[in-house]
Amino acid sequence: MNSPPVPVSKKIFRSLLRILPADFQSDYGREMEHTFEEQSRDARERGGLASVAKLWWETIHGIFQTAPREHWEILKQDMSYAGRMMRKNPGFTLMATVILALGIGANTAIFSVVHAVLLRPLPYPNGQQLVFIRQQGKKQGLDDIGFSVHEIQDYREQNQTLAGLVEYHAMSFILFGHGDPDRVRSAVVSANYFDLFQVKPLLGRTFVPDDDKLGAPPVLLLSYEYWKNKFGSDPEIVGKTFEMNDKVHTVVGVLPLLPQYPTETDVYMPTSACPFRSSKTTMENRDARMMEVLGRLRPGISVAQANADFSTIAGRLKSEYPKSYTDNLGYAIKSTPLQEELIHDARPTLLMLFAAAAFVLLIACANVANLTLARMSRRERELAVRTALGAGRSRLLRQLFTESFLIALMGGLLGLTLAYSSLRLLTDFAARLTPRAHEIRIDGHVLAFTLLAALCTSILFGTLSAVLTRANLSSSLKEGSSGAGAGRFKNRVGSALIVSQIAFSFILLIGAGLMLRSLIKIQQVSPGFVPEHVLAMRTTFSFTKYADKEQVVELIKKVVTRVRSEPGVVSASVAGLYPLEPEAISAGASAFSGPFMIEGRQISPAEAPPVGNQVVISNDYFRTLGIPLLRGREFADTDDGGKERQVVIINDAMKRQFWPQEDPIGKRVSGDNGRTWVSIVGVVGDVREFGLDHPVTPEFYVPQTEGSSSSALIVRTIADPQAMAIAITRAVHQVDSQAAVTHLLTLEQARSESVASPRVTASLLAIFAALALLIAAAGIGGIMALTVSQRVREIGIRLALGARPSSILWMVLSQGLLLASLGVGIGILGALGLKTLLKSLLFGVTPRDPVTFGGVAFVLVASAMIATYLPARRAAAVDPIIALRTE
Amino acid sequence: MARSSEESAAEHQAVLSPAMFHVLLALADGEKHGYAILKEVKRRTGGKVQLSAGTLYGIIKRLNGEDWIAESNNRPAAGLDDERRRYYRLTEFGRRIAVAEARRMEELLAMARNKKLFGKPELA
Repeated sequence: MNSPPVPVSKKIFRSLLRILPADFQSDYGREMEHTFEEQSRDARERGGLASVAKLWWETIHGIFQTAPREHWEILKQDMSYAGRMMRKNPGFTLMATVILALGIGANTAIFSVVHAVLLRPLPYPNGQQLVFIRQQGKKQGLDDIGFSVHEIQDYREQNQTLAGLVEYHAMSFILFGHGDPDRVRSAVVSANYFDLFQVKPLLGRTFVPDDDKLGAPPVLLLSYEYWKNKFGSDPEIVGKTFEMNDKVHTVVGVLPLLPQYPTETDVYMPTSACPFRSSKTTMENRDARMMEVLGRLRPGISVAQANADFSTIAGRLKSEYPKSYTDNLGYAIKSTPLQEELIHDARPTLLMLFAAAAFVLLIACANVANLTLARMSRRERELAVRTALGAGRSRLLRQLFTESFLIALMGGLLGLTLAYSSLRLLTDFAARLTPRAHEIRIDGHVLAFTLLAALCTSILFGTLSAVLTRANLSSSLKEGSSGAGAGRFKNRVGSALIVSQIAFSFILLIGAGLMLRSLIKIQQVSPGFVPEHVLAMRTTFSFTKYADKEQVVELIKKVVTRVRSEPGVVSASVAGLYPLEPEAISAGASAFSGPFMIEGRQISPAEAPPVGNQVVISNDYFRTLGIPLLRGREFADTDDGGKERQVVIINDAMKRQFWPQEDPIGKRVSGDNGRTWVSIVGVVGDVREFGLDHPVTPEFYVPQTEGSSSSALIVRTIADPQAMAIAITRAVHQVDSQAAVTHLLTLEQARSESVASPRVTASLLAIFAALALLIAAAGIGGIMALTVSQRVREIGIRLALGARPSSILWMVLSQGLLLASLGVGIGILGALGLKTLLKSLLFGVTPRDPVTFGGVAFVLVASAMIATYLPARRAAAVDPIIALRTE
Repeated sequence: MARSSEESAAEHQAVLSPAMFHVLLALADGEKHGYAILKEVKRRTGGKVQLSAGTLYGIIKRLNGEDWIAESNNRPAAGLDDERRRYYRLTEFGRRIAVAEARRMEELLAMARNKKLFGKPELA
């Protein structure tokens, strides 16, 4: 028999009822439906369509009023019930809350970083339109050769895809007028630089086109950090003056907190204020490339379209100025979204840490589910009684979810405090990876994430307990508390949870182990010099005071001589950079490298020329750093003062690459396209200039005849170099009281600093892995204890039948071992998949390093055994008489 | 129950909304099913208070929970009945609550009169 079709209005009404709590529906649903039918009939008869519409409106309105109140009532009941249950089991509550807090806290902390750095749009209006533009010398492996003034003009005038194009270059200047002479990191930028970024100043104004005219009164903009740290956020700073390059500069504004990119900057100045940028040689020389270029895409233009546009211009330039864009340069131009530029170093590390934190949370969930499971066996009777008394199944499940959610929420709150207290540490860490680190904070998004994490967590472990309860509800009443079938099912689920915890812990431990191994490998790398007892610093001299090259060379000689005469100093030297100098590392090797020619070796125009780094050094450099001389000689005083540098020393890597079978001593090379030739007089050992994990590149050392106003002073001391810092600074000031002496660092500090990022990554991973291990071990101990207490009777019988306690001990231990081995087995499969995630972060270790895998497996199984040992011993100590009597 | 009905009623008045009072009133003169309550409230207030199926059963649930009303087992003759209907009656407790509420209103009204809130005393 077919039932008559349900009218549409009834269907709608029924679906409306669904927003009411299930109990309410089952209590009143049918009656409400009936009342509504009667009302509808009356309304139709009385007033037609208008009355029916009014009735619908009132009914819908009423249901929407009633539903939240009813849900809230239930929630209140459930919460107070859950509160009572939690107070009754303080041990469970505390344990579950703390475990979840660790998981949620780790995730919240890492998410606050991921959100600020990877997810949030750039802090500029329409930041996605901003691009970083690079000219490259592809054949010479040069990723960024910079732009010359001519090139900037050409691209600015000829492009069809940009709304604006600005330039930037970093300089060091000395700022006088406030306390000691201060070496400031300044950025020289186009007048419309901040207009392109659409940045509004915090105080005063940004630059205007008039600031950029030659002869305009010199002006400065302060970065937020410099204003805050150096001037204590002085609100009256605008209008104050500073002396710089012999000119008085007026502060016209303060910038808001922004990502410091491309380099960290204290003050900004327009291009006209930079003596190098506005010199005739720079302005007129197409090959004087010293500027970085940024642009804003026109609305609707993609990066690919812009790159095509730039390539067209590049082609034009190549045919117009073949000397500037030779075939062996491999000239190319490319733009990348600024967003990408700011975060590409941070992404792999952050994603890996996020994955690790997620694993910790998963393990925490599995663990709390297990705890809940153990508690459920004690609550089954209570729940079954409530069912029998008429509580609907959905109502009970809802109750269980409320309890889970409450615990997860408390865990979330505690986790939030954990995350909040680690924020400072994380910001410092992230600052090594990205200029966006200062944007890290706990904001609405992070709070929402925490809430979501708590919700998902409670759903995850709540569902598990609910599903199991559902399976058991009916059987419990019938069979009593030790329902054998249900119990076995539950133990199986408990075991599966343990196996998954161990598997996830294994993967985490592998990640941490690989990072640690790789960190150890990095630290074992010989830097090529002896960092102990060496102090380094930046010394900057006013280049307006010492305008001539000769003057600077003379000054530097005096400084070195004076410092050398200081008691406790073994040797001193000056160089363009020193190995592992933080600023050199962040600039990268390519900032110091260039092509060169070898006498007598022809290369075809299309072939890439040899490329090497160039380091300017004074005498005693190798002795001061402890770099061994392998062949030939060091520079002599006669080399140092010559008009031209006629000699050069190379490193072993260069010898191996270009003169593998010959003696390079006496060979001649040219760095200026054959205009001048210099002879190789010595070969020294390889030095890791740009990071212990960076390959050694071919290198030239040239004598200090160029006279650079900013250079590194390196001093080897007899005792603690740190203790010599003041004396050495004073010695420099005795020669030139206006010299800025900054960035004092021992080379051991520099070496430690250079591995700080992998060290923090490894430490964070290790913390996560240790948490995971602890949670998993506690979990396996807990489940074994539960199994033992459930099997007391069986164990009693075994013992009564003559089993030896040692065999009982082994029985329990072997069960733990089985679970641990299963977990490790699955973990190995999972860890093999880490390859892509970890490859870019590892050094000297393969992602499938057998030592790490073996070690981690051992640690995990051993921890599981230790955790199982206690319950196993309790099992072995069961008294068969008592065990049998209690049942 | 040792406590006086006044005390208990005073305690419960806090949760008694006007709509709930109307439902109690509607049941004061006899048992009714849901739709009859709706009609009664509407008729008595001249349409000023209009409950819907959506709000009524929320109220019924609460009144039921407070034991102020109860489901009645008396049902009309089979021809007039519909098995989906349920009939509700005022409990003794509910009646006391309603009376207490009416008294409270009466006192309020008297106070308002004493204060000459309505201007001239109204003619009966």
